[in-house]
Amino acid sequence: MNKQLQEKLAESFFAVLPITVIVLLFSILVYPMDVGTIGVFLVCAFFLVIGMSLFSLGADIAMMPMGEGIGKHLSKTNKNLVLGLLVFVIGFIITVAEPDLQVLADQTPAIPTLTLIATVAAGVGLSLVIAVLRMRFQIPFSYTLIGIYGLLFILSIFVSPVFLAVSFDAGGVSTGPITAPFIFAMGLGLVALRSDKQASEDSFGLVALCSAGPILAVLLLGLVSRGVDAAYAPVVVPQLHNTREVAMDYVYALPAFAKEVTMAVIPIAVSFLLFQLLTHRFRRRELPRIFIGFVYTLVGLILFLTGVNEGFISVGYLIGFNLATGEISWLLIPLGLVIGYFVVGAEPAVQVLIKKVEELSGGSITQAALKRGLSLGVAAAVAISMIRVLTGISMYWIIIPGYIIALTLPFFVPKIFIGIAYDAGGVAPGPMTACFLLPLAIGACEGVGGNVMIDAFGAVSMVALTPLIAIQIMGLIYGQKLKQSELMDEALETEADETLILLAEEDEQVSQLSQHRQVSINKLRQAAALLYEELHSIIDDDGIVVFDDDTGMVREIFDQRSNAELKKAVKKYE
Amino acid sequence: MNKAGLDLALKLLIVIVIDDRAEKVTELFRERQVLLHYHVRGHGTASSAVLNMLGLDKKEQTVILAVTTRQTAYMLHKRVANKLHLWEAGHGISFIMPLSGISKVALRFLEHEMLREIEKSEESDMSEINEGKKQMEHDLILAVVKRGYSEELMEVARTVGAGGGTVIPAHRVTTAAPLRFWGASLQEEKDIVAIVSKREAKANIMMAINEKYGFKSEAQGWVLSLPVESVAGIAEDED
Repeated sequence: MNKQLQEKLAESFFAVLPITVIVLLFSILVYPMDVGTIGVFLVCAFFLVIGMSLFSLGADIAMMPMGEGIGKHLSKTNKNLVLGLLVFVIGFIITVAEPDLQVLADQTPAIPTLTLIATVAAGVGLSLVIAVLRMRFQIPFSYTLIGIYGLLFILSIFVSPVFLAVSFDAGGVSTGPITAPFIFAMGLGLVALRSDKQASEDSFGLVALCSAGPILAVLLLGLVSRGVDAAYAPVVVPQLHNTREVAMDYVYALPAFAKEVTMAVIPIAVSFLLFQLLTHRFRRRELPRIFIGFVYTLVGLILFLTGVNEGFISVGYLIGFNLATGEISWLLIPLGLVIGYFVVGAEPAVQVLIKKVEELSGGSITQAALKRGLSLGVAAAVAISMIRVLTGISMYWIIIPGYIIALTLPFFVPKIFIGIAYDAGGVAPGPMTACFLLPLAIGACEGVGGNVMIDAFGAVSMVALTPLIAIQIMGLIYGQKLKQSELMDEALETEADETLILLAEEDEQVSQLSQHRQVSINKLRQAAALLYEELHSIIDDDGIVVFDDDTGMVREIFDQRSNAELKKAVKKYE
Repeated sequence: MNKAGLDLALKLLIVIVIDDRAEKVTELFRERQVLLHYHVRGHGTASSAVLNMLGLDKKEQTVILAVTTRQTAYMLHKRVANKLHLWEAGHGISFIMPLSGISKVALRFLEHEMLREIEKSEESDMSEINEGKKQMEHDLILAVVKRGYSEELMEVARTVGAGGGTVIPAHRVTTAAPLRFWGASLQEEKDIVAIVSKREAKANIMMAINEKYGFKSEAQGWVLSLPVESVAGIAEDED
């Protein structure tokens, strides 16, 4: 099989495997589920692997180069107004078509569908404008965050708790599996052509603002229209008995998701076409490849979303419900911990993010390390959510201290980690969260008899919060390590110095050696002395050493301190 | 200040491998405490148009640059070739280039290597050292073109004898006042295509590139070549 294809399949397989094993073990050891449900689950897990591989391939060859290309050309626009307008329009149209947003709008009948969609889309557009202007005026990312989140918390005091849940969900849906990689890539493109010190720090953080903006926008909407009530769609567990039904169930669900995903991709495709017509960035022969990449993304995401919606929702719900109603309801907490740890690896957008971070950091922030950080974060999130469901603690007790920590850490963390952490927070709650973790929480909540709207839905905002803290703590540790390795370099240097001195001092023992050996030692000593003298005459200055063309030996050493010599050098080699 | 007789020749060792094997090379370098050691990101060029279109061909590559003494360079060069099986097609390439000057401070990082070399030169009779001179049979061709032209350029180069190439994304730094917008300068995007070729093929490859993607063409390209001492990883090469 093709090596690249093999790699992608293996990557996706090992991302989906742990969660599949956990569910299977659970159904065998703790609570038996009927064969139909598990059958659908396994079929879906299979398609999840295929879908994720295709999606990742499509992201590599189409979505990322496109996003980066658009970002690079936007960065060449030197009029603030034009730039702001373009960015707003892009943010607006890619959000409008996001399928999850449609679902959210349908679930909240009290707010007119169009109003909600337009509000969220404008929220994303405005966040993008804020994000690029921030770079333009070089306002530190941490100040921008504090500004936005500060405003957000002040506003949240004045709206009803139900509206608060909707607004946080809006933040989650605005950065779905298509828009998040695209916006992320655009951010990379925006700074790619810069050559200043802040460039790599500025590469990240766009997705983060795009998930905070809509929250703010919907909160504002909530201030205008008070007293709104929201409902949620109940989970239906399918009753299937044979393998054909299982397979057909998946097939029947495909068209609906095909439509959703296509709807979401069209605006990106259209903006890309317009962009290409205007700038001719991509050569004609590169276009088929990008088109094929689009198809990969489309097909991959359809397979993925169908799988996750058909197979994972009911299983998640059943696990949550049965555990909560059973005698060992405390088991929800450790199970949540384990599920949370593994589920985030199966989020398609997360894979794109961690790969790109490794690449941009020149390999110093590895995929494995970042994934571990995210996994630990989400594990904590799910465990806390389960504690909340079981005990009914108010969300504020966790969210507010959580955000205070998340907003304080930027003052201590290496700057590049702030953007990465907040981007990870925007990307972490994806379809896996919506279709597995959320049903788990809903199931558990119904099992205990809590308020689903308030207790269960907090799970999503929790998954968005904990990565901020986890990744920033990772950054703190990384910063420490960096200091250590600098010390190591120094040690290495002094050690090298000592070797030299020792060699030069070894004279006394020479006489004890045989004749033959002594000759060579003499030569060695001569050479070492010569080298020693030479090196110590040059150490600590900025000079230039010139080698002989033929022999490659040191011919001359020029000292920059003496101008005369430098002039001589220039004259000689001009 | 002539220090004849003291061989302090320094070499630039360049290894280009696909990303997941870069770590192996780094390990080898670390064992030998090569301190002047850098990674540059690039990507390979497609060997098949169909696979390229399907996105199944492009491979991220790492260009590893190391400055070290001549003997260490040759030693590492051979070890890398053996460990990564560079003689098999597509496994990467390793080559050595001469240096003609360096900052003094850099020598400090090489002190222990140099000492080791002096010791060694007593035992082995400088035989390996002369190896390099005989083997100047290859060249490193660098072509600079506008972003997006690298695939086509490689196709043309292949028809006149080039094996594979590596593309390194770059920006051009203009001498004219750069566009200052983000509080920093913005630059034009370029691709640098690196091809190692046999000396006989060099002129043809350069001519072909210059003809089709020269400065007056759309690609606005230009090309240069540098001498390479020893190569491992080119199909025809049995080194």
